[in-house]
Amino acid sequence: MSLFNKVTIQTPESVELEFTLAGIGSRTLALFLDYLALSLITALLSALSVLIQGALVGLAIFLGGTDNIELWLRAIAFLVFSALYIGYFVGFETAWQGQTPGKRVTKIRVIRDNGKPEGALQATLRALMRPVDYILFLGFFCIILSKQEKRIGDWLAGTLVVQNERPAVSEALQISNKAKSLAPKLLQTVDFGRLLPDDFAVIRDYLQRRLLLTKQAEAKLSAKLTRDLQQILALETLPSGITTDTFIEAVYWAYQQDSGR
Amino acid sequence: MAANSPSPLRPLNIGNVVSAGLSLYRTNFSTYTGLSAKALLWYLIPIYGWAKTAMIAGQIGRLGFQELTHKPESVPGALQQVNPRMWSFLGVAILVSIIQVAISFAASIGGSLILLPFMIAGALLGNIGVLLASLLNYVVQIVLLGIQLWVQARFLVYDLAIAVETDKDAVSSIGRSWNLTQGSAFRVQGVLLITYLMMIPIFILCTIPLLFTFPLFERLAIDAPPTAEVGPIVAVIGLTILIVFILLLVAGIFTMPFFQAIKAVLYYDLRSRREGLDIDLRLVDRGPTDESIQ
Repeated sequence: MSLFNKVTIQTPESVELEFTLAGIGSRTLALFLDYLALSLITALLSALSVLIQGALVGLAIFLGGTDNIELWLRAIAFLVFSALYIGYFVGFETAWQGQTPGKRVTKIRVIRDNGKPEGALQATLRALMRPVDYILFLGFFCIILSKQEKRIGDWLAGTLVVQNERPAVSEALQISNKAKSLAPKLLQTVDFGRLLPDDFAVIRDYLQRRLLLTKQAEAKLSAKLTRDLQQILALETLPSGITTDTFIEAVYWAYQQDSGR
Repeated sequence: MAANSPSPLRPLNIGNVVSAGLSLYRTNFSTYTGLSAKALLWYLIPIYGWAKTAMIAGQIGRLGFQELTHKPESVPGALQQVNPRMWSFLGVAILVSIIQVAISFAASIGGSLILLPFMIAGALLGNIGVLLASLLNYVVQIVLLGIQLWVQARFLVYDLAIAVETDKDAVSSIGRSWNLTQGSAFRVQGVLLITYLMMIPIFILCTIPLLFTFPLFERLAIDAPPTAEVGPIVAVIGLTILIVFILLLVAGIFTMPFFQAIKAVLYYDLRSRREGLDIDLRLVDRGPTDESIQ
């Protein structure tokens, strides 16, 4: 069972790109955040427009008066607010290559069906179809029921919403000096070819996340990983006088040195 | 190594918890929905039925969690695990609600005590004082709402703990939920927010028939129709309300497993974050071929 829908895109250069689709959860959150931002902007703008309208009406009366000034102003305000709603999505998605502030926070992005970045045309079509997608929550049901998670705007514009693959950040891990001094000894006695890249990833995961673990869980996990590593590396006895965490750190450090050679 | 067995799920962001929950529900749609329908029927019977309902909800959560850990269980298998704890589900649910009510009660008393001197000062200071006091009142109300949401988040996954950790005391599941959500209350609230937002369309669609009764209400209230007409109008209104009620029940059949599936993902996610559930070298999968790996 795969929890997340994926799409594979064949580029003209016949390179296959795989994307994980954004998922309804992130898209709902992004939409919520964008509307939060939009309503804040709208509130500010409305306050401003009341002031401007008051001033303009006063001016019109002073200049001799036009009967329909308030109607005109209301029409202009309507245009401004419509432009804001369309412009927010079109502007951000065009300028930020398929992202709005909400999408940025939730780490999702709009791309074209062929894998290229979203352009102004696609962004406009998506924005214009928004009201249609809101009718009876059509867009919502289209996303959760279709395999490619497309709302009507996406079908029309030929776009996909995907997770923004984050570049693999390898944060510098805190490795104790004791572990660093133990690593060369391990390298001499142990064949690190027995440790697979996947195993190394698990160890790195543990070292990165151990601070967030509960004390109990950390102790238990540390002991278990040490036991398992001992078996994988075919170590008869553990180096004496060190904690299990130091041992794991040393294995991490030694593996890195080993693969660097 | 274990090329065939799927890799464990990594810690997820808020949106992906919800998406994964929906995905989990979709893959087990008929199973979960069937259980949910049964739970709804049990709910009509007081006390015994309620315990049964709470247990079935826990059972759905357990099925979801077991699937996430790649140790799927059959429906009867999961039932066998949760059945002895049927009364715990109801008992702990009652306990948790009492705790929640007590906390929000204490919080609102605290809020009023803080507010009181300002109210008095406000009354003495005249208009500006009243304005400031009412502003402060808003702040206190928002803080109280925040506390309630926070408490709800901290106690959210207790039924998953009862259903999954069958070797532990049922009451300790409250503490388990508290510990697991420590430092994640904000994330859990985010998950709840999206979940509720996604349930809104379904419930709104269910209430659409009510829109058609508005003209009838208007006719009754404003036009004062002849007595002969009142009967049919009332009958139509009553029928519509009945239809909406049934639609809401049906919606409940679909939303309960959705909610439980999301909680299963959330519980799994919290356990990976707090206990490193997904951090495993998976020696078991290698089996005896260990030596040939080199």
